[in-house]
This record gives sequence, structure tokens and C-alpha cells, in this order.
Amino acid sequence: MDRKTKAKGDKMNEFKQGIRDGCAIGIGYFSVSFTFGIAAVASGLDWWQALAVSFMNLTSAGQFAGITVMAAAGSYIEMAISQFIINLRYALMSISLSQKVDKNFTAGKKMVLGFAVTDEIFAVSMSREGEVSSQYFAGLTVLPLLGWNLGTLAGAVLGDVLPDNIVSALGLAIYGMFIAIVVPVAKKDKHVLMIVLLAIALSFGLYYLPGLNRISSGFAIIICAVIASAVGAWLFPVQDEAEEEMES
Amino acid sequence: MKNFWIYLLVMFAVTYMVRVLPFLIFRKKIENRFVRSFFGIYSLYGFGSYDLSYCFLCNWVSYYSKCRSHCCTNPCLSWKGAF
Repeated sequence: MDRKTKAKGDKMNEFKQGIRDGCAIGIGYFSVSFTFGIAAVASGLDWWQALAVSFMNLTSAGQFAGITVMAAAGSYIEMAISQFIINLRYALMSISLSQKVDKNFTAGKKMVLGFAVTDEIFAVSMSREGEVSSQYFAGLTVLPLLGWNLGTLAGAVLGDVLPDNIVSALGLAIYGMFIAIVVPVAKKDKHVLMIVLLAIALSFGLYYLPGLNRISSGFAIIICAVIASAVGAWLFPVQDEAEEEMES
Repeated sequence: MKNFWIYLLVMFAVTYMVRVLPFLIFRKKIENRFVRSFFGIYSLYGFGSYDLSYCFLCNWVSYYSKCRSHCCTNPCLSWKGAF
């Protein structure tokens, strides 16, 4: 086998490995986006609009906030700021990922594949040993993209057909997932728990206090996220590697 | 609702740029401790912001008034390791 054929085979293997590693994410995304499809239609979007939102964004929290802003006829500025703040974490993920990708991951490929940087795809990429090739990353995105869009379509279309109690039960899955993410970490780390409690208190305040409850739900997310994170960063800064080594 | 396509375009443009621009531009490690701490917490909170701000005790009640009991049972179950 000559070198060129071998290199091509390696690339294909990388791609296939990516697809295998993305399988679990794809299944998870189907169930989450199913509830998004239901929620989008319930908030007044057509099924194709729900699908278009998923197709163009591939972001759970951002999309849920997005349809809320749409339903409330919020301003375009509010939409932009809420998307920016909620999805700002992707910027940090992209920075980390840029240190991890190999030299063949060109700017053009980054512009195409960078679209698919999500929490889960990022986590799987970063856990891979060595550098991440564009073929592996491309393979990794296939099933999550498919799962996300098919799930949205199924939720948007079947949301009308399924009985109310089943739709209501499926709608709760998203809250279970979010809680499943936050609670175990909060349970393990008391600093996170304090930040979570602060966020809940802020959320309460913005919902119930006279005057503050006039703030739209889109901005409420932004305010809670920024204040809780800033207070957390001020009170409990991350330890430098050198300090961690000294302590251990 | 205002124009759906403008909403969609704004969502797409912001989300895409937030992901792709840092991927293209940034290469150096962030040194500032506060900034690193902020984003460290943010990466957790950003994802959880939806449940905290929308459902975790507050808007949940108005959206899912029939399912109020879940508001208490879900956090309690997850605390006990049910998820």
C-alpha cells in the first residue's frame, strides 16, 4: 500500500471513529431536541420554523431562550444579547479547542466545523488523546447534527398528535436534564452550591420583587448568569497550577 | 411575533460568531485569574442558566402549574442521586 492510500485510509478511520464517538451524543440530542420541537410549536412557531431554528443554531439553552424572546415579541437587541451571553461559553470552548486541533485543521475547516462546537461535542473532543483532526471532528458532529434536527422535527410534528399528558411529561425531561447537570456538581463542590443558591435567589428576586419583575425573562437570564459568575469568580477564583502542586 | 427570519438571522449570526471567531483568532492561553474563574463557573452556569432562571422555582409555576410537585421532587430526587 503506498503512502497516499494509507493516509487516506487513516483519515477515513478517524472519521469513522468520530461517528462512533458521537453516537451517544446523537441519541441524547434527539430526546432533548424533541422537547425543543414541542416547546417551539407551543410557543407559536410552525414546525418548519422550529426545524430552521435547530438547523441554524445547534444550541439547547440558546434556542429555548430564543423562542421565548420570539414569543414575547422581544427586541432584536434583546435576542442578540441573550444569545451572546448564553452562548458565550462556546467562545471559551473554541479557544480551548483551537489549542488541541492538528495543523491540518485549516481556517476554512474551522469556519465550517466550528459551527458544531457544543458542550458535549467539545467534551468528547477534549477527552481524545493527542491532537484532534478535522476528520475526527467532522465524524463526531454527524450523529449529533442528525439527532438534533430529527428530534426537533419529530417533536414539532408529533407534539400536536401526542396526548397532552405525554407531551407534558416529555417537556419535563429537559428540566430533569438541566437539574441532572447542576445538582451533582453542586453536591460535590460547596462553592458551586453557593453560586447556584445565589443564582436561585437572584432569579427569585427578578421574578417577584416589584419593579424588578418588569425585566423580561431574556434579560433575567443574562443578569443572573453574569452576577452569579462574577461573584463566584471573585469569591472562589480558580487555583493556579503552581498553587495546586504546592498544596498537593 | 416580529419577523421570524430576522430573529433567526440574529440568533444564527451571534451564535456562529461566538463559536467560530475565537476558534480562528485565539491561540494564547488566558492568564488572568479572574477571567479564567469567571468562565470556569460560567461554562457550568451558562448551560444551567435555563433551568435556574426559567424553571427552577420561578417561571415553572406559571408554565407548568399542573406539575408543581415536580418543582420540589426533581431537585430532591437528583440530590439523592436518582438521575
